[in-house]
Amino acid sequence: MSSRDGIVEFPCDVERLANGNTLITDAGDEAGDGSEVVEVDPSGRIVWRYGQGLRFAHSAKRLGNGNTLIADTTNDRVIEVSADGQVVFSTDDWGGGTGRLSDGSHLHYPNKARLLDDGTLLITDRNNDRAVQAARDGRVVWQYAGRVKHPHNAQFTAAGHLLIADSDGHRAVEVSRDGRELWAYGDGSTNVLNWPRDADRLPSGNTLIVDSKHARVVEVTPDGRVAWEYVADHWANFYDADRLPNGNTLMASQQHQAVLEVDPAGRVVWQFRNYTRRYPINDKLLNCKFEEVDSAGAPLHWVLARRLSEGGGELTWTQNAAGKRCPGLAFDRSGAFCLQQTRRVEPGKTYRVSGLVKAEALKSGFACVQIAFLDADNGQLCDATTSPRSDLFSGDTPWSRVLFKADAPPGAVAADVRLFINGQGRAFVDELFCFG
Amino acid sequence: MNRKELESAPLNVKLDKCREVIAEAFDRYPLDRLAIAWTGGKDSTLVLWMAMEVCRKRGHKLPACFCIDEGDVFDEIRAFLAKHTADWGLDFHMIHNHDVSSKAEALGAPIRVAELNERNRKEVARLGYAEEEFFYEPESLVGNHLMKTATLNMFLDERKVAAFFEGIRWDEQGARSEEKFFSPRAASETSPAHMRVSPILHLKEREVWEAMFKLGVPYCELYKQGYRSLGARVTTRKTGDAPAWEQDLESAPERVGRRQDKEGMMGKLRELGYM
Repeated sequence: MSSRDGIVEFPCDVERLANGNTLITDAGDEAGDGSEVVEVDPSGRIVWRYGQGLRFAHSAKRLGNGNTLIADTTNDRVIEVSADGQVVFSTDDWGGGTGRLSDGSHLHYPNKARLLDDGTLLITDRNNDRAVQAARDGRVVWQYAGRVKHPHNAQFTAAGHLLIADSDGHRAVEVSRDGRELWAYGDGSTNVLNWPRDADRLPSGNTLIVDSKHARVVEVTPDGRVAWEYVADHWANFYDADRLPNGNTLMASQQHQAVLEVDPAGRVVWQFRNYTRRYPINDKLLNCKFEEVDSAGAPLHWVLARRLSEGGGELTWTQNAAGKRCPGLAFDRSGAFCLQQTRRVEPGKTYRVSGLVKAEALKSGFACVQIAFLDADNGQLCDATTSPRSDLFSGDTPWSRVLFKADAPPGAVAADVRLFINGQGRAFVDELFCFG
Repeated sequence: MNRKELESAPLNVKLDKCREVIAEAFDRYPLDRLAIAWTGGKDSTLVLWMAMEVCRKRGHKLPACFCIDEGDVFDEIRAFLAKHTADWGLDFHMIHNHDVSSKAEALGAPIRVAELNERNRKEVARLGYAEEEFFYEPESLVGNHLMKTATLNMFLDERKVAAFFEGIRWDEQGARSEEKFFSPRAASETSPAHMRVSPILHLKEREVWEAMFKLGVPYCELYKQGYRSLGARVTTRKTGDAPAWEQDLESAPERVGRRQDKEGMMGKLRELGYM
């Protein structure tokens, strides 16, 4: 057990339990470590915890028998663990130990698993673009597939319809068991909903939707009017929200590493946050020429950020024309992978980021250098896809120089400066500086 | 032949004009006061190649060649320059403003004007730049001037250069469209009076490639990777994945892969002595 266990770095699913405690699924830190499920009491004390082997776990449901059903996202599996931490069920055992469902498919980046009354599981299988209902032996009972893109947090309503956050389709969608679309909110653009990741049908008939990239939780009526909303004053990137019996709303703010209970008037009436940073914030970038390495052979002071790498990504090295070693990232799947370091900044000041970048056989994606500004709570001030960056590089490129300016926005106290890669291939970096 | 006739002439006629301009320069200036600007790009390599041809025919040696290292040269260009300097036995000079680059930790770093030597401070003053600090960016106004034009001025001054060849063309950049084959430059505070000789002014981009292939002139591998125009690494990007000569050269500007704020700055930079 590492010293980071018990620190919630990236809360995803949240659930208020019958005993008044709160179950929080922590997806872990930027390096991809420390994913765990914690149960905290109202005073914020951790009373139960499970983290063995989890990678970027997104959800946990406490079952009637006291066990906990966990969507272990990057491990492409769902497990059930007992109160004393024994794994009593794993989808890894499906298909004779191959983890395959009866249709031959394998779960890919599941972010939610629910146990239904009939004993089957409803799993939101993000990278297979589906919600799948499967028996405990892996037999596919029903699925809604291919008509949503990277969905999150599917559930059945009381009427037996599927309600699902079609995240990259920017809609919340209700469909019948025979696949007919019955209701939807969002127009498919990012104007109405931007990357919704949860939709719950409330007893009133309204729908509570987490509008992640608008930093908003919104309750809409069946005819699409906004009945209530909670908008954060920062880029909160809310993940999950539940309406509690007392009328309050429980939600997870990933960017501020916090779980909030908000009353109908929008006041925060309860909060859990025990975050501390794992990596230092330097006054300026260190080891910019990547000449020093740590005991593991990785560039000193730089962090391999695997949180979003979907289990892939390797540090690699190349040589420049002068024969000097330069680090790089090798990647082979969807998601993103970064080599980054955090430095202090002052709001309003202009920063110049310069570096050398080389792409090698990079397909279905790109590499770039990026600066992501952080606030005092270590939250990114904007979405990584809109953070200031260099040109994008793909295919095979010679060493190219990048140089761009970025103004630190109000509230910025630090910035991650990073080499970013997605797609399949390699990207290398050298002389990565940030002046200002 | 007037400009219009020249521009519509067939390639062999155009290439004869290039050789004529080169020969005229050799008639007008002593060899030791002539120089050839050779960036490793296609245009200046074509000029160099034809100057070598003319020299061979006339039976005299080639003048000195120089390349301005503005602090951000592609490795591939360095390798190209080094290979052909050796193959062709050139008297080659890589010129660089060490006083400026030694004051910067890396590209993008701030430099205090007061820390520069007197000559560079004078060059900054010529720009009318009054700030205490500037950023080490070869393609910014101050950076470009110090790393390219001031470096060139130093070279011209030290070697008492009376004229040098360059590879600019009418069709590549608006600020160059009115240039003459022989374009005199008055002396400035930091450079001698000299002549700019531009033998391939009248060639279009596609004709440059036709000439390269016809004459067997080598070119830097970056063109094959899809770069149409090569400048500093920081401002130069691929314009496509196909080799430069297979791209649509007629509808998109040649220097579209170069940073455009500098392209807009070209008029001002040329007033100050830039090529």
